Amino acid sequence: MRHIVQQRVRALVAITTALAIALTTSCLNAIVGPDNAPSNATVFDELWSGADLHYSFFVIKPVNWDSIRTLYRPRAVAARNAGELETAIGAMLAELRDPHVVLFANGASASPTRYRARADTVNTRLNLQNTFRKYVPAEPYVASARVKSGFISSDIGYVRIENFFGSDWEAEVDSALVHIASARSVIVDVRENDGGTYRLAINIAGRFVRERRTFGYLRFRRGPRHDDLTDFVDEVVEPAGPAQRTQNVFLLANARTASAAEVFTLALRSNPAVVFVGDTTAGMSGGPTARELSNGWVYRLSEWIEYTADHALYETIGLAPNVVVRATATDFNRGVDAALVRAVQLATTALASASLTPVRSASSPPNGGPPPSNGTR
Amino acid sequence: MRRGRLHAYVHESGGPHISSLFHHQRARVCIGLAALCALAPNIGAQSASAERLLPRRWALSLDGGAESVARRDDAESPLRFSGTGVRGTLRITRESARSLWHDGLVAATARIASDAATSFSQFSSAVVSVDAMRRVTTMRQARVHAGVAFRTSYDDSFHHFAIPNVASTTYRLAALTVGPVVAFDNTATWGRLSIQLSAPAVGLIDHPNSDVKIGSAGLHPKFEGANTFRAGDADIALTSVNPGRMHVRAALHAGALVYRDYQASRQLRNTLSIGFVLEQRGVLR
Repeated sequence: MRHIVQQRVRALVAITTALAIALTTSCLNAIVGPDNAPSNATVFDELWSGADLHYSFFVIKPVNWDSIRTLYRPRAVAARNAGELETAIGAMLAELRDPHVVLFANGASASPTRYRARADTVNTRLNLQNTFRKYVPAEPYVASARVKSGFISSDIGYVRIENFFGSDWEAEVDSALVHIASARSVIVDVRENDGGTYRLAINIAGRFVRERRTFGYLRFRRGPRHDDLTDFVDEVVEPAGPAQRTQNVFLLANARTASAAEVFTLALRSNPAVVFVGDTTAGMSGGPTARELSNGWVYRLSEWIEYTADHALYETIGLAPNVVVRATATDFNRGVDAALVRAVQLATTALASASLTPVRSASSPPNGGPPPSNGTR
Repeated sequence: MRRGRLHAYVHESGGPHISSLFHHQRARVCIGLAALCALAPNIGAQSASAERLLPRRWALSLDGGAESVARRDDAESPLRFSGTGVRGTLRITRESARSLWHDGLVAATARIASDAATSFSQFSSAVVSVDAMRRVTTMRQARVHAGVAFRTSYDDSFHHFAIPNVASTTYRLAALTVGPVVAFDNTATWGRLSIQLSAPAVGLIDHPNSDVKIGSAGLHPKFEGANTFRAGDADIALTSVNPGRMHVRAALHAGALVYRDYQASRQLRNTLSIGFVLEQRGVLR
């Protein structure tokens, strides 16, 4: 009897397995659909419609996306090889004038195709190796390839953050801050920092704020129309890490401070005690997301619009410093890091005075530049 | 000796000939008879029908198995992704003379990829379901129930791209749906065959076209009907019938979903699973 039962169970299991396989194979194309043939036209259309549905900046950029399709589609369809297709698509994407829009044509070219913005071409006249050698004379503490710290003087510490790529390395910044814990003032340098992971940048910014604050807002692309955006979503920074440095903090940024590094800058600006010294940042606020195409290529698009705490856009504009210092060719040739020198002066003055709060409002451009601004331009 | 053991087994298996009430066990027959005797006055007072004498059944089943997933979500990628993973189901069944309830919790995860792309996706889903059904047949061996299925599902796709400074995106499809469900259950000496079919009729669907990993995209559910949101689930299960409370259960699940949003989402899933059923039978009061 048991034997018969076992036989029947086996038979039923075999039948259900066969049924599952039959269902998978017969219904797959009917329900999920077949793979797209990766023709030039298909690849172009996928990318064009992907941008049409996901790109966030159509509402603020003077781009007629339909006309651009009409212009570039024939070129893409006529491409004779992957390289020509990449060139045609890259030219179309360049019309968006957004360095966050990138095409990774796997195998077609060695480097990704992207729009070269001001941040890519501007001469910031900065030699960071020289800065370390000249202004951080004692052996710097190297937490990692991304974070270094040291003493400019016994009272002024210096922390350099190269980028914000990756995740879960906030502790490296904590270690660097521990190394300069005896310093009464800290200069945080994110010049030439080209960004990285959004959340990591905010977490690290949490080492320099004393309270939870909304430092900016995001609006996500949310529907098929170009103006389908979410409401303003708060961007919040709050104290993080074992200890925070919230007083006598001087932030250095420049025209190559981009993307997540600008988020970091924006978050630090929420602390009124932080003085931002240097040049206007790159203005890359898009928050890119990646998508792919039928031929295996990957592209990235900005998926949100970021605003300052004053609801001001800073895409392509950048974040203006409190104290503007632009390096000159003369400074560079003499090996002078003018922005760092100015930050040291401000820190020294602040430490010398009984009250530190006037530093932010009393600062003035040292080189005849435009007057300081607390907002974006 | 062997003949005697076989005889004893057949004798026990003869339980269903007495009734399927007491699950082949003499002890349970005795308990059940005692319970019936105790309830006799009430049953008489309530002008008992044959149905009211059917047992109450309570079962807890736990299944685990391999799942095959194929999906294409235009919000995430124009490519078709497919792969395999695992799926687990916890289900509580409550059956009385006229009603059948299934409360289910399903969790599944699969690694899916496309032939064309170098990226891959970790696709996870969770479903909480409640099926409330009324019996529509009077046969004891073959029971058919029909009712309403409530489903809350959450599909999450964590997509990894093989590009510099590794990028990832996360997309979701959340649904709160209501629709009809039909269950067929046939008990024989060799086991119990259960088939259940369900399909949502209406629902609230949240399917953002944004990468939601930042967690700030917010919920924007849309009310959808069967013309835009079509889905169906079929479950075929075979449960052993043996003395005792513990039974073995083998099941096949097939689920399909087509959401005709401006960013269409389609998926097909098949699961073969095996598990255990802890069953308790009593007598309906």
